[in-house]
Amino acid sequence: MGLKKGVNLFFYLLIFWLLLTLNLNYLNIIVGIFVSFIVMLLSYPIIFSKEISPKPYYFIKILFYCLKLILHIYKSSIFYIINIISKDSRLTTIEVELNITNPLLISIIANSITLTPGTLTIDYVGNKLTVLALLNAKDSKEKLIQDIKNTYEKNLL
Amino acid sequence: MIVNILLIIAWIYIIIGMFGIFKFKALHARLLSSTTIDTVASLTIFIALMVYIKDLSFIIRLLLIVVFMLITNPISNHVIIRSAYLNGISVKEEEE
Amino acid sequence: MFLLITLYLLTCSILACIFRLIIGPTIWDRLLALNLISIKTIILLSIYGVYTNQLFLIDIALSYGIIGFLTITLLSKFIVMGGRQK
Repeated sequence: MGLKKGVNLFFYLLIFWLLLTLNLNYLNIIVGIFVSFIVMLLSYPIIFSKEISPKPYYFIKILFYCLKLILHIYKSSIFYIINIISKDSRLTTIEVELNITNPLLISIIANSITLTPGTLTIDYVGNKLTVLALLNAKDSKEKLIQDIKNTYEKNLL
Repeated sequence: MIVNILLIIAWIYIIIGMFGIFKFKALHARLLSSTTIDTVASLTIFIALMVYIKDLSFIIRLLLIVVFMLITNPISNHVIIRSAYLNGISVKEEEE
Repeated sequence: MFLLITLYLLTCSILACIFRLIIGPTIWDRLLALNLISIKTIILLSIYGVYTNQLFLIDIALSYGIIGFLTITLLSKFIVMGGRQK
């Protein structure tokens, strides 16, 4: 079971080596196999230490999730420009409680909250995130919490 | 034609990011306003460059830079604001 | 033509970041300005590499990004630990 994940990691490293060099000589491929085998041996006990175990069909789902995320970034940046220029904007902190317990998915959600303009995660304990946001005078906190749950969490489950 | 429109959108983001550094008086608002708007500007410029040039070896390198920036950019923002948060600068003092 | 105007605008933005880095009241303002300069240098290098059709400048931009990320992470970890004062 542990050997299978190591082989997966080895092939990802080899693909990145071939993309970075773009050179299909014999010598280049042999050096790439050697280097990625050494990196796999060194970084094996760090990555697969705890119960972080993404299943292989997650990678297709994460690819579609990235496309939806880019659309959401552009949509929220338009509202955020108006918030910067207007004078009565205020800083608030909100707390969001998620239903997911996998630590890899929680870190993906925290990174994508930081990527969208206007919100930024400070820290998390368990599955409760603390989010810093810049709001207008009219917007309410509950609408923002509902928005975060709808856009990020439902697409990953 | 598409390249020019995308570059003009990127100029607006860069100018607002410059404006956001000097407007606010609170530290957290400065952090939040400038870094996140820069990410959108860089993503727009890289999409425009990928449309502008038709060489395949350029496009693969630019895609690698985009993937790298999308992963490491929120981590560095998060690390800066977490070190400011752990050293005792709380949010509510700066609201007033 | 449009790429050249983007280069000039990015240079003006880097000058504004350097001004923030000099007058910044706390140390996190200086870290923020360093991060912004690091992002803009990557964009500047890759635009110049596409404009003059040189492939190796994009590799330099990629490796510069790795160095900037390591700088920010190590510096802010050093500040969290307390620096030399404790």
